[in-house]
Amino acid sequence: MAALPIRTLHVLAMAVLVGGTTVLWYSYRSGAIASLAPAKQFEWLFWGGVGVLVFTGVGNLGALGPPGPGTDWGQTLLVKLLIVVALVGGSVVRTLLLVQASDREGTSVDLSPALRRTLSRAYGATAAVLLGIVILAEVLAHG
Amino acid sequence: MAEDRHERMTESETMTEPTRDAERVETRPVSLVTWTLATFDTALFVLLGVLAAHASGGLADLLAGLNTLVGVAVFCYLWALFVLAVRWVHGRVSLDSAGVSTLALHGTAAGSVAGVAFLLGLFAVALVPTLQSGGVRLQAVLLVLLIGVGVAAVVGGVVGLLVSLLDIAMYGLAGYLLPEAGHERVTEPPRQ
Repeated sequence: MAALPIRTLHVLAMAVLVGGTTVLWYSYRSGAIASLAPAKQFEWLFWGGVGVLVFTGVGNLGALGPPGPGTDWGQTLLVKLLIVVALVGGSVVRTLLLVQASDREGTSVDLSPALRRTLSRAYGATAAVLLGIVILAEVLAHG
Repeated sequence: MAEDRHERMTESETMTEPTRDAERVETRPVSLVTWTLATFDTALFVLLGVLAAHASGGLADLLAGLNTLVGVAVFCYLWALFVLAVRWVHGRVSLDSAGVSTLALHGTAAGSVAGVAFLLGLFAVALVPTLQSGGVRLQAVLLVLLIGVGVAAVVGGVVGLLVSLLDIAMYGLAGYLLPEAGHERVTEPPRQ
């Protein structure tokens, strides 16, 4: 009964994360954004999304009844879980970097090109890893 | 009343974007760093548990006995406890100026309290209805609870210590990767 809402929430949270990180990657890369405020706002949403993804992901696994790690499916799940752990670890460094940059820059609206490049790379890498997770989820769902 | 509203509107219209952002941040009950680290800690805690259960082949059995809504409730409760614990630590010590031992000590204390609170929360939900129906003896429950509180405090303390060390490492790594200020900034050349 609860499986469909949980799955829907999982997909929606992933859509928000992929969409938001892709927009920020492109915006910092092209120079369309020249301040840290939009990224800081998004980070609140990002971590809320991560929390939702984790509990709905575990809920999905409960509904599926995952086979052991010896099967192909189990191996793919193991890889996906390891990539998710890496994503969460990398993302916390990105957010803390953003917060420290914001503390240093204060209310200045003029971002240094080096910082813009770093943020663009960070959001680009996050978006790429998220897309990799989406592909693995597709493999797990449809073979 | 209407004048007040008009004044407030005029004030907010004239407010600059950074001022508005700063005001919005101040009204939030937790900071972005607290929200980020608490969610990171919760997610990592659950993911490592799932990873270990899956690698040992016991994940299906573990999840089969867990109702989806109960699982969501337990996760949200754990998430809230992590947020409160991290908020308590950051309210007392600063990540960028306090020493590692001070932070680790506060993390251990917060972890112990959170561990006990987690156990008591589960106890309240799972055992109180059984006690009320008279299915279990109160003395036996109290004894189990006493031992459980001790174990939960120790486990919570160890988790709190490891998590606070990890948080400090992540904060330090972020500072290391932050580009130097002032280099390459595009500014107008000084006028002669």
